[in-house]
Amino acid sequence: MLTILPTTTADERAKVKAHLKEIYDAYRSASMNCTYYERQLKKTHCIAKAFEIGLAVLNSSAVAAWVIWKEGFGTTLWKILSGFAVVVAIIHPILKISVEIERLTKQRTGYNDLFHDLRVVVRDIQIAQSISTQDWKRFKEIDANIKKLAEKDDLSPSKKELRKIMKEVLHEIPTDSLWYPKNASAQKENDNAARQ
Amino acid sequence: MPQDNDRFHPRESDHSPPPPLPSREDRHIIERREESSHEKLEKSLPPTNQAPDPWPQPWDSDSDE
Repeated sequence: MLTILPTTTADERAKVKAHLKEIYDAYRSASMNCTYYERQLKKTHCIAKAFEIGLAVLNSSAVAAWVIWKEGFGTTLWKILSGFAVVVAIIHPILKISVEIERLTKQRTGYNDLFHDLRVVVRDIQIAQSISTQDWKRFKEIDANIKKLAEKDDLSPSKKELRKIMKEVLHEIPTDSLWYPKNASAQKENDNAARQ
Repeated sequence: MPQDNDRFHPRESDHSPPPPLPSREDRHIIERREESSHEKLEKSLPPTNQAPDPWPQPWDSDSDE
């Protein structure tokens, strides 16, 4: 176990911090990705619904029978809408929206599971105020799953969207709530502040 | 079902000997080239959903560190 004692050297502290950085980065990135895929999934569901509703309306004989399509501008508009319906019907299977929804659902579930697994590791570190070799081993196992999930990630996610989610994650998981090995003097100050 | 026409038939006049196998040194060079092209491919792979900016660390505000 990498226990931090008053005699712990700066080098040892740096080593612990390097390990913690990897865990904390993965923990917060998992949370960010979970939210990202949740939102992408919602957007894609909306697009799929719009496609289905549009096609159903334009293919409906009841709508086609409306008088407005038979007079003046309505005739031209109906022709445009009919053409649009044909294009949508052609591109709909090409877009493979259902396949995309399936991928997004898997990514969302995968990152959600990772986040919960990492939360347990972070909580254990917090409670023990140290990082054990067991914690690190657990993290490495989780890390292998992160790499598997990353293979099916979006190729060019919106950085603007990710930055927005990063802010939300930092609000939910404040940086100062994460444990790290303070040097002896800083630890003493903290202990004194806690006692007062 | 593959057609017989799909197969590669050397022309009757093409009786030139096959090119010599690369020497041991050449093979090392080829292997090194293959390795470097593999490294390049890995580097050129699109980024995954990682945080666009580095995450802040709890010790970032430490003045002693």
